[in-house]
Amino acid sequence: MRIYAEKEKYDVAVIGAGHAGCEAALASARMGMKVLVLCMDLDSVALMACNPSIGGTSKGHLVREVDALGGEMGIAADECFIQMRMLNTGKGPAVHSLRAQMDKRRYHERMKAALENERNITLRQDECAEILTYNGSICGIRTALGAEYDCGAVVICSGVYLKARVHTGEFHRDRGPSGLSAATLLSDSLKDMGFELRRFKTGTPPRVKGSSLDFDRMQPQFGDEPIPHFSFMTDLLERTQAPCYLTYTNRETHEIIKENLDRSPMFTGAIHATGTRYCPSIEDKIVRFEGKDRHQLFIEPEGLSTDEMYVQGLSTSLPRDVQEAMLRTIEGMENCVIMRYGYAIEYDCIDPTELTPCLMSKRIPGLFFAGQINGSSGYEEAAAQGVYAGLNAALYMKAEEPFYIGRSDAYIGVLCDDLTMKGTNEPYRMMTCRAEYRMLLRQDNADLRLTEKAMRTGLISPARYDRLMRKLGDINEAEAALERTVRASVKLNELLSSRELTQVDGSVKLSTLLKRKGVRYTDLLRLYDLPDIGPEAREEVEIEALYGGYIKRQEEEITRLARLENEKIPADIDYYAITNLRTEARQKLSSIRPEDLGRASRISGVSPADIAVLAVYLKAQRS
Amino acid sequence: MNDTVFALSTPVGGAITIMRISGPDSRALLQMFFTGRIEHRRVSYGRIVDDKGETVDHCTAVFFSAPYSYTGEDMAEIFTHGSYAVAKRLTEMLAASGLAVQAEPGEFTKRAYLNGKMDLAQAEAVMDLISSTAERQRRAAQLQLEGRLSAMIGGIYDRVKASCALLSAAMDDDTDEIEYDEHAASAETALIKADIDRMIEGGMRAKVLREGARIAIIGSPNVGKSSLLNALICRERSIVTNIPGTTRDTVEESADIDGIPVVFIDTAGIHETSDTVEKLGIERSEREKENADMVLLLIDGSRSISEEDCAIIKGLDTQQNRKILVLITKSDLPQLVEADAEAFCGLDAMRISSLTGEGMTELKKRIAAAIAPDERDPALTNTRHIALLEQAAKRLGAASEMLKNGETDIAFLEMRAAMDDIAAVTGREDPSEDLINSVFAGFCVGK
Repeated sequence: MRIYAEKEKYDVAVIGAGHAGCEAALASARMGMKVLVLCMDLDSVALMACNPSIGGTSKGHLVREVDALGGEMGIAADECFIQMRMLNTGKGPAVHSLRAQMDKRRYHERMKAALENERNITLRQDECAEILTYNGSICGIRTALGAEYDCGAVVICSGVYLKARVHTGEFHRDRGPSGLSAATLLSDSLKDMGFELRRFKTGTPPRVKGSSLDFDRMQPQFGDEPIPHFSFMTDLLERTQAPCYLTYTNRETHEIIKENLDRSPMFTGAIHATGTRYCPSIEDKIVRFEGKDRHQLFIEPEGLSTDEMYVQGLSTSLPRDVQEAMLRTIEGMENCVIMRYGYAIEYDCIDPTELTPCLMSKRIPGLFFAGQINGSSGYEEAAAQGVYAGLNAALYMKAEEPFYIGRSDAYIGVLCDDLTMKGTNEPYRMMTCRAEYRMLLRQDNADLRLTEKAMRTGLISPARYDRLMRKLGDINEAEAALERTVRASVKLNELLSSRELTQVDGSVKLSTLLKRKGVRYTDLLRLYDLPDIGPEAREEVEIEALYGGYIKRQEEEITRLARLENEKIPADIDYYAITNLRTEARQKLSSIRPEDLGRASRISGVSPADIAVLAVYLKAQRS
Repeated sequence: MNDTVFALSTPVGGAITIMRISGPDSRALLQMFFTGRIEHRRVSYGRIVDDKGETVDHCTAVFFSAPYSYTGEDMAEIFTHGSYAVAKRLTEMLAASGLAVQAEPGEFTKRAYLNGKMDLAQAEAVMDLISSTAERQRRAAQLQLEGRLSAMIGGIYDRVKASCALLSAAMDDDTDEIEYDEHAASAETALIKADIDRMIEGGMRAKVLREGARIAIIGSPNVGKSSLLNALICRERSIVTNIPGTTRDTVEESADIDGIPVVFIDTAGIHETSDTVEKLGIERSEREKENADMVLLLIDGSRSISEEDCAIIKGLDTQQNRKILVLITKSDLPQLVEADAEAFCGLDAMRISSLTGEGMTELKKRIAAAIAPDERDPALTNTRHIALLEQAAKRLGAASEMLKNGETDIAFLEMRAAMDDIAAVTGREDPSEDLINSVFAGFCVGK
């Protein structure tokens, strides 16, 4: 026997090619790293194993932030969407959120092509079996096929595949999502490295055949025109959009579910993992919200080249026959044909408080984690962590300072801070109410917040930087021009009356006019000599005029917080020596070991009084 | 921060004196000076012995092991005879041991709070209890201690939280499944604000319990203001002569009226004068009159009402939320003034004599009735609590308007900040987590 033992050498190995893995690999590779991507099935790269949509409330923010950092998700979504819709338009600019329905197959192909076309990436089908370390640092990986690769950093993006087990009624099997294999080897390697593994659970609804549905009895929902887009690099889009449909469960549906609860693995005890409260199964909803007569369902096409439709809102692990019976009670679905049954899936994940704020293991330098392995849920949350971990893995290899994104910079910062500081007891979903600086962290200004900051990573292309500078220039020019004072005119007052606003007499500053709700920049542009700026810059100018006071207030809060964050806590601090700390605070602080008082203050179980005690102690130590 | 502290917990001079010790060296100190048995929660009899072996006093002592004590730390309490000499000697011995230092005021409670033995509102109520000077104040502090305040504020907190949760759910709802009506949300927010306002109003009355009611004694020169002050506090404080303008600056004196701490302010007589010093005094009188919780307006009953009296009555702002009582003085002399409310713009009037004491008991009763808080009022007496709730109410008022305009995002910010304000009153932890739990518990969000 002859062994061809020429070892391939890489800088970064990315384990898994889902939404986190793809972004991590692209970020590292674009920063000049030689990257190996292992994926158990190359036909499932960037697979949308759950619903065929990207974005939505607060997730849309994440997509824009990934884009502003030079990530791929936004551009790919702009190419592969079949419907775009801006949500929450009536609730203020901070919560405007873009959602796109995807052609699921095309999205997979588009992302796979992105990896294939990146010359620094080697994409290979194999399963990672073991992470190799030397003197406590990463030195390589070993695969199921027996290959060994040298590398200095590893980004684990294993999604829901680790020791995955699916359940549909009485059917239980060790396998991954969508009939794919589970990854059975890596869990033990992580355990050997000292990681405590936990079991989380998520689920997915059945897919039905579109031609078996009666759409005339459902409410269609169409895309927006003109078509909005995710990427700051995308120009005006034109495309025929596909509709989605709304329908509802009813009492009969609920009766069937209740009668069969004893056959649900969630209730029989077959599932031991923690599910997400955000994405509850329909059986969960029926039990928890007894009083509700109906639940909304949202029928989404899975793509243009297939007749499969996704039934959002009906995630279930009930048995096959119950799924069929309950679907047929629903208006417009009386004759529906199921193509794939819904299932619940449980999987291994780590406790993310073992990670630094930049997603690297605190104990093993060079080992990064991103996506569902960290206890999050969602494609967008995964992609956000992916780009963040990937670029920090590259910086680690270059021996450069980590690139840190804080809570006041981006939803990505909120996400990673929550995960690494507070941890999570259930699959973590991004929500707008988790972000305290919502007025600043809008989806429209993700580029202004992040792109320039990310220049040092090398992920920002000159074209992207140019666009940002043009937008900034436009904003500055317009804001300067708006400082002009004009005399009230008949035309101005006609405009104000038409918007049901009180007229002005004497003179008025243009910026003051723009502060009045209902007056748009384009209105003023028609009356006065103002720079004709792009729509994105216009949006910024209008929001700044309307919400400037709130924006400023939040900026002041951030300055105050920054002061706490400047209070560094020595790494070797002994919390048990500080007697006035409460016991719970001592335990939490000792296990998470925050780097500064700001972070310490966000740990649940650490009260303001504990922070005061800690601040006094630190001061005493210094003097 | 981790040292052992001690303090006398009772005023010296009573029947017993209690010395309290808290901290890791409590047991060691007790062993050092006390001859009796030391067992958790067990009262034992023994002697206090100094370093020369001499008995200082016979006493009882009790020891509490952490965390089963008031402060959550090891604690000892020594009950000695109420002698100044014993208290002084014991204090010296503890200080000389080098193991303990004198506690700051409120230190035991602070430690109890830091060790999670009570919430912030309870801790502050204990602080108020410690500094209470009068019986009513003690009762209000006691009620607060029992968590009434916490319960009431908890109720308000829960309502703001529920509103925030609804808004959150609506903003995080991808498919318009949440039934959310901004006008209903606006109305509910306004209702919560009104309830907080009512609490604060009750709290303002209760504030007199904490800080004492300020009662201004005003009137023309020489109507007997200083005599009244002296009669009320039962001693000669203000100089009394029959020369108008004797009191040139205001004089303040504390007294206990029916269990309520009161500060009486004897003001300079109000009249036209060219004397500079007196003028300054009169200006201060005017200010005190404006700031007082109650005004006693004195009219000399032994002479006809003067133009000056009329001017003072007209000058009173009766719209302001405070009591004004007209006192017709010198009832021991022949009376030329009718005690008729109509004569004084509808203000209550009564006769008194500081000389004979006529009407003084009645006067004290009336003062108590005017300034005593309703016992059913919430015991909102802490200035910090009131300030936080005022801020919360202001935010909710603003949020209510924004909701009407469809500015859900900034309305939420205001409401979320109000949640923090209210949480700060009880020291409740982590409103963020609370809110997220509430969203999930109350709303069926998600795919």
